[in-house]
Amino acid sequence: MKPLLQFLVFALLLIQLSACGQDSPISTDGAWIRLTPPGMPSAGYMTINNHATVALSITEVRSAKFQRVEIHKTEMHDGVMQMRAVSAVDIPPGGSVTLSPGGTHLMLMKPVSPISESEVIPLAFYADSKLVLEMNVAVSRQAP
Amino acid sequence: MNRFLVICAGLAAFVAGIAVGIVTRDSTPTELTSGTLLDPPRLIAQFELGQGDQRFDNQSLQNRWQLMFFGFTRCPDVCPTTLQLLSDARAALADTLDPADVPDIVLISVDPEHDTPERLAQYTEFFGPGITGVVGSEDQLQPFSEDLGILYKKIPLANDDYTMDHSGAVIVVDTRGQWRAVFSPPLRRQDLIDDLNVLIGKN
Repeated sequence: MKPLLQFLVFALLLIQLSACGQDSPISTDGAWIRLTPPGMPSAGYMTINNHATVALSITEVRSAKFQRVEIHKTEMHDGVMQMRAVSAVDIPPGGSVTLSPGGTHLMLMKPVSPISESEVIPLAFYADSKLVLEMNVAVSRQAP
Repeated sequence: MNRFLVICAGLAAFVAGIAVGIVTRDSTPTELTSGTLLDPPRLIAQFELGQGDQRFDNQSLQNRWQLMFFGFTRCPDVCPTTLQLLSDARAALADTLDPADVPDIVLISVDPEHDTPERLAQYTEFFGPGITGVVGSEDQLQPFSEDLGILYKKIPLANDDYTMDHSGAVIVVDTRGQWRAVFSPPLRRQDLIDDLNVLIGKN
């Protein structure tokens, strides 16, 4: 009986480990979420790398900390800053796309509670309704 | 008689020397690398934003250098980026300029519908010292922003929400309340610091 229990625990651990190390087609570098005054929307920035051999389109991002997350893009036209929602972030096969201040970024709206410096916020990325990456991103005042 | 002539000539030369000195000093061009200098400075038309204790008008622009930026508190990208940059620049300038010459930062809200003086105060305080938020009625804001060439527009979003398009320029106002320079985006921190050191340090 004892060896069987050991085996089961081992097997469960293995399953868990493989789930953690599940090969996501994407990875990120330099991710950070901007610390903003309490209750105000925030923004998320990072470089997203696509390791797949096919193009990937991030169509949705969710976070337990914010009621709504949208992909936005700031553009300047004749000195006027315009921020618009975009439907997706398209990443070419083997390529990467950088979300940065003054450009494409995640707009994090309606925080369920005020965010604080160094707090770690969960983000989930979806490509065509399929979860492709879950990660935790730290809050900071400026790019790390 | 001769002595009188010599004295006259001496005096004339002396006066001319002073004049040349003044002219040369005044005509040294102030060169900005990233900003645009308004030479001569431009007068800002009579305006007032807000009322009572919160009133901000031409008188409020006197005696201190000020950096004015137009934005709104629910702006998650451009406004925090710009305010943080201006706040960092202000801190750096405090190392080189006299305390009285360090410019203050003024955030003029383009979203009077949402931004109350209380919300603005909470928002600006977050980015550091020396930053004030100002909000006026739409009727007050429109002529003031137009005078400074600042554009803004309400853009409806889904779910009854909206965002504001707005100029990203930073307006530099001198101690006499005159418009002296403008910095257009993209702003670079070190360029801004260097230019403000030149511009303010010369006065």
